[in-house]
Amino acid sequence: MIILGIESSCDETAAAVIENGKTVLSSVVASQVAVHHKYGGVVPELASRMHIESILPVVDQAVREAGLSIDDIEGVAATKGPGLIGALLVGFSFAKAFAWARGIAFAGVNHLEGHLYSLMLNAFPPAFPFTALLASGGHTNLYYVTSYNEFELLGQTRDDAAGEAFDKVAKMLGKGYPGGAVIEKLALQGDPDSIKFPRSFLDKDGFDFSFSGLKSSVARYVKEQKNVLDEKKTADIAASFQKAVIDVLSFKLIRAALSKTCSRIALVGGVSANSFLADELSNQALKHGMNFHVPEGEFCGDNAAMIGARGYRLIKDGKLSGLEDDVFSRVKKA
Amino acid sequence: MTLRLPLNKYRKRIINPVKMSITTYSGQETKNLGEKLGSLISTAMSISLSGELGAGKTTFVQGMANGLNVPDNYYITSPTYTIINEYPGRIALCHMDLYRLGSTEELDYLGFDEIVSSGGVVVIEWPELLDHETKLICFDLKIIFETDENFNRKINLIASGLEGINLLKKFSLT
Repeated sequence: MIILGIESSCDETAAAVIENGKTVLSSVVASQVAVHHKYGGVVPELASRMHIESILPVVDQAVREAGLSIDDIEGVAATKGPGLIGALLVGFSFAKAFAWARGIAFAGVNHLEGHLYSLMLNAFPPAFPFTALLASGGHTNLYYVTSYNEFELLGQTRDDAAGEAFDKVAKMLGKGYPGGAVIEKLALQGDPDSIKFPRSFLDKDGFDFSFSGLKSSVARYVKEQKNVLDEKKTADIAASFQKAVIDVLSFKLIRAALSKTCSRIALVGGVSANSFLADELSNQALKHGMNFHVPEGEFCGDNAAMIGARGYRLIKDGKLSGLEDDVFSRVKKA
Repeated sequence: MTLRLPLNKYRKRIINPVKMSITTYSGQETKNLGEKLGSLISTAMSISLSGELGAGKTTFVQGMANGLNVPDNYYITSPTYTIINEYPGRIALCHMDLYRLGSTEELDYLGFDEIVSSGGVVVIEWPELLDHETKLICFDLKIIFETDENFNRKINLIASGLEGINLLKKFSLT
């Protein structure tokens, strides 16, 4: 079955064509990072306007690159939430109209489940069950995934998301957006053990995260330097901060897997592009006799291929969405 | 697009603003202070929170949420990426963060008018955008976080408008 996937929950307008939930025939992302850099973050209204301008050309390109025509598309999947309402509506409404006009199946996809499905695009996807960490600008969640449709949320952040902490620390250091790439690059030149930033494990038995205290510690440290930071110091802060985040993420993911006696761990979301984190988890997995899974680089951040993969499963299982369905901004309950 | 702010409610004359400053020495103290303030709120109002990154703004709002009886199963997380987080409570709490916004035009798109006049407690982090571009909004209560050289927080509360002044009076008496 050929599925057109559409993603527009935040800063990316993306479309992809997926065959049988696994083979990516095309994946197009109209990256808006260049626009966002100017403002030091994602600009929602601008993002939405960009989505409207991008959606048609991006879908066109995805279908063309797949070597297909519109007639070949057998189902449509679009992100339903969580995300910015105005941005979500562009992709979701487009998908609804497309499916209705073509008389084909339509599925609304949970963005977070989509990230978990980025693993299904690997040549060797993890078998069930697996324990996955989803870390991005807006989310830091731990899941125990037992089947194609069962995702048990084990823990989440109580304040800031991991990716957000990267962005804000980059800003404190006077650096730009996106913070993840900036910090990683700086950290290469720094000593990760030079500054002792706190590791917030919260209660050791739980799986929730907290990065707000770490952010404050970095702010305090920067202030103590009287805001004068040379290159070496900046690199040391970046490296030490990054180490503190990685220590906590890796500790919790491994602990969660051990608690479920689960021998497969996975890392998804934009933060999985961080090679220090991926290396650490790979080492930890080896140490504990676990298999480690991470999506291909292009499917770490927001993309439509993962939405198409999740949509394929929903459509196959008859979990369809209708014209009356609506987008949602966030998952309400903790 | 032009921004239509609910002027009648929020553009109030500043008559003898009432000020007060409290220093906190830990995140927990900041949270406790927020809880005390939240517990005294009995009506819809607007509150701005200013201060640098890591100063304790979101921590303060977590305390306020307790004071407003937001159910425990809601985590009060940073609204930086989500822009708007809404919670039920004794009075509904709407927690916003304008950090990532580039201009007031974007507020229109977010439905800012409806949110600030929805009858809840509206708390806005990084409100400088509003000051800067409109100079129209007068919050019932402005809270400014300053950090000293020991990284203690001096929390300045400045009330103008009837609701804000009444709240601060109650606050200083308890």
